[in-house]
Amino acid sequence: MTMSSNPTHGYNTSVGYTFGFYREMAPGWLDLCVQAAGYEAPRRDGSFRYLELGCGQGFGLCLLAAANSGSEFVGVDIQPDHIAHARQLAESAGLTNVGFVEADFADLAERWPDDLGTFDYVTLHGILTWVSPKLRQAAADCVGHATHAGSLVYAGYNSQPSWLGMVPFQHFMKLFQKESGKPVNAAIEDSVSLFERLRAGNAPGFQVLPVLDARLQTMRSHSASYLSHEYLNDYWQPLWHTEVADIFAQAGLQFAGSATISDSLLPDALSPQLRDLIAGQEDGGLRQDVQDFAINQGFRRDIFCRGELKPLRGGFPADDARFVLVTQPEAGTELPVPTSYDRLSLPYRNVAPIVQALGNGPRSGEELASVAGLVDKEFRRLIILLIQAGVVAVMADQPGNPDAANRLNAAIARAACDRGPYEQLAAAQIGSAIGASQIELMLLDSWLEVSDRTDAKAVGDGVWDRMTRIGQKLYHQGQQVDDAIARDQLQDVAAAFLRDNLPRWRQLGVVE
Amino acid sequence: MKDWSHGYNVSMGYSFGFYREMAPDWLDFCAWIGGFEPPQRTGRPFRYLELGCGQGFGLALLAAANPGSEFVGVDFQPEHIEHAQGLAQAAGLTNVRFLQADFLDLAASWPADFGTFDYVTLHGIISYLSPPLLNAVIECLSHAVAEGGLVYVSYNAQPGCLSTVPLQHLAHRIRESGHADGPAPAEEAIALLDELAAAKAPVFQVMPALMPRIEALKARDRNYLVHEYLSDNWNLFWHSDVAREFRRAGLDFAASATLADNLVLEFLPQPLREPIREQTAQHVRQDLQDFVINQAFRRDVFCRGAHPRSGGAGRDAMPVHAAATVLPGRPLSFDTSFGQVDWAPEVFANIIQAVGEGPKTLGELFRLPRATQWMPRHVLLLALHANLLANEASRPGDPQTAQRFNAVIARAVCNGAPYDHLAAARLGSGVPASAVEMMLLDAWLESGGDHLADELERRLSKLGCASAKPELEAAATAFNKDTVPLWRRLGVIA
Repeated sequence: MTMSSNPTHGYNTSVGYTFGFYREMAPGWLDLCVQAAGYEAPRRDGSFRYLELGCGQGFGLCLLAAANSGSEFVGVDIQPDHIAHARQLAESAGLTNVGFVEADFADLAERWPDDLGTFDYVTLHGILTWVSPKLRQAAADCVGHATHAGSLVYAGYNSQPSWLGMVPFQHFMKLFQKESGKPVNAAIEDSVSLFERLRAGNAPGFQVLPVLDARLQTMRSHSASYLSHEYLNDYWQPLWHTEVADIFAQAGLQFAGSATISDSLLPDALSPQLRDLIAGQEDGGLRQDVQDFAINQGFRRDIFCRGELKPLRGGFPADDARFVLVTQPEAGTELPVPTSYDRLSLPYRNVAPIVQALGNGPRSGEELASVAGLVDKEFRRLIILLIQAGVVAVMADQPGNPDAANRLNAAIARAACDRGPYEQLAAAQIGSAIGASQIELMLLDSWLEVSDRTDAKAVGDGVWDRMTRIGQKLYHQGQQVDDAIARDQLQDVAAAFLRDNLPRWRQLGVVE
Repeated sequence: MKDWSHGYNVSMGYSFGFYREMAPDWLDFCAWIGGFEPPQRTGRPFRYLELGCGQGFGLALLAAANPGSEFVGVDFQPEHIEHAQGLAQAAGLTNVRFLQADFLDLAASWPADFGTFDYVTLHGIISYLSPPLLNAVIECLSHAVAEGGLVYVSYNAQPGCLSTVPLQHLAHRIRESGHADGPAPAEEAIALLDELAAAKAPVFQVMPALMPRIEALKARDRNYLVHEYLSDNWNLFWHSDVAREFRRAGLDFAASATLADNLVLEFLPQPLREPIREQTAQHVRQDLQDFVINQAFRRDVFCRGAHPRSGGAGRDAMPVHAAATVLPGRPLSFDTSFGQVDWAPEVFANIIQAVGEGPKTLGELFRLPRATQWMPRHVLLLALHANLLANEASRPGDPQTAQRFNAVIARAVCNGAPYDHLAAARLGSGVPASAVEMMLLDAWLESGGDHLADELERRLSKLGCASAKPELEAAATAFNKDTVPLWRRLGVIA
């Protein structure tokens, strides 16, 4: 591999990127969304090959590898520190089905290594936003090399038109950093405070860009790491769907749906006028662009398919799809469902029959439709919104061996006790991962260690010890709990963990 | 076809514009306002190059208004050059030549007989160039600009033009989808956005500037829509992007040719002024100022080897003229990038009265008794900006040459041509003229000031326009009484 004069292509490398996992990148989720868009998901014979281009710290890829132990995963990133972290994580969990390659897209595009072969899934999260047009083309060329007929490709990127309003902020943040030569954190602080002054002065620039105003209000709540990653790359280009579709079309890929599953309810979910206007566009690409314009889309998760797409036989969800409960919505409250087009909420009474049925274990779509008393379109809508809300998930056809997931989760839980950066756990039964808070991870670590795994006091005491070791305090509803009673409260927390989390986590294949 | 034009949309000719901001003396004045010495050209004619001269109307007008100097126009479209050459020939202009050439070729081998120029202008073109062509333009500038020379470059600017990105994109996609050509894709995109607005798409709440822009576009001609929204390349630059590129050709920013833009800091409220002033780098100040005022179009003046001016009295002797006839007692409103300015009649009455008697120097006008709270400097500069006043050329041309050109223009308008300016020898620049004024000029040149109303009616009806008799009479009377003396003073007619 050759070293170019600018090995990072202007990609900001001074602050490590966050350790993210995005459920929309899970292979089963991609299949599901292709079906929700009305197409057959390409058939896999049990195992598959999965490539992530721009895998960052590799955490997401390790989760997927652990949750799909029978398949093969490869991550590519340009930053050596990312690759080193990813390898170390995989090793610590004894994952043998994931490998990481330190490489430059430009080089890979030119000479695709024979031993990499092709993949059933190729994913790119965010990177298209932050690379030069030339490197964007190289990434598309890599996708061309890496896919075969029936491959699915996921591309997540900042989209037009919503991000247009942030162009000035990005411009100035980058300009200030270049001009001042200040460290990243100082440059961020300078630009945020400058924009706050301009807003206080009621600069007309803000009046025509309300998005900028809204985003500036929450700017200080973001980590420097996120802000640096989002705004301080040399290139920063919100993209229209058609711009991305065009470059992938050169590799024989066509649009197969959105991995934001609630997008499959569009344009029907919009007003009749907007729906007709969007549906009336004959050109498929233009239809997406007009829809994005109508809803002011901010982030797209596109799925492309190489080769022919076959219309879905049967309905959605498929008759043999089995569903499992991921999170328990709070009884009696409205369930919020954020979508790309609206902040919806579902009344609990609409959700309750399904949630109660799933409380006794996984159920088929047919069973859920029957307990909910809904058919066809209505059931499709409800189940899509419940998936979008993170309440239910689809079980993997052929779940991997749970051992790998358990091992990785043990490593994640252990890391959390040392202030580790992770916030997810692998879930073998759904071939994906679920969110977990730091206290849940500490509970898991303690639970894995105690001799009597039904002893809430022992588990709670174990968490107390772990918290004391790193000086962590217990908080309840934003208030710090007094040390004197924290220990007792942890016993209640542990009891709730044993009662609520564990059975659900077992169903999901998070723990044994 | 597409390769030959480098993605510039050639399916329709671009409009026939003249921009006074491109006149050499205006550029000198703006550079001086910006704190720089204009090129030293006392006693010698200057050389002027326009890159991307389009139909050549503006350049031919400047050549007619500055007959002692030399003008060269370059454009890659043969039909543009043909039109330009035809116009120059018809007007008997011998000091302007037009060359059909590609910037890539020019950059690769700069014609030996081109030499260097005191002024090089580029109107709008950099907004539509691909990166390699922009690079070629920068190389052309390194060849073309004389030491001390000024460069005018205008372009669609950030952040004001951001709100038209969706329109540009949709028009482009509609064209790509292949079912519409010519101006139709842009018109379809406008119709689509209209429908989306009628359907209350939420996006319009977060893009409040988009619909007003769409509304304004509906009044623009179709050539403009094609040119502006259907080029393959559509760049939105910040000033700092352009300044960085121009630096490669040894050019430094001197001022804005949009006169009022040089006064923005003086008019902004303190909380907005201070954050801009604190910036040490000039290009950061300009960018930040553009954000604050939501700049949409910049006219930058760059200088090769800029010399900061010494002392402040250098332009006191510059004569200025009344540029338009102003009815006494009427208030005046005009737009600046920092907002609309509304003047009561007394703000500018004494200036108008003074120049009504004939040209006065800037110094004389500056020393008139102050009538209102407005600072005399601001009143003078904004009166120039608002085209109430016009600066006299440092070497006024021969009105005969201008009149010969103007006669051709006036006749062409009678035949339906879209020209809207006339050469003014005294100003070395142009003045706006309506189609009716053009027709009156054509009649006046042909048969003098009598029967002007009848002559106007004949010309209007030839183009299929009908008009009421009293209106024609009023127009003819005003032309004889106000326009003829004004145009004579400005060297529009001899």
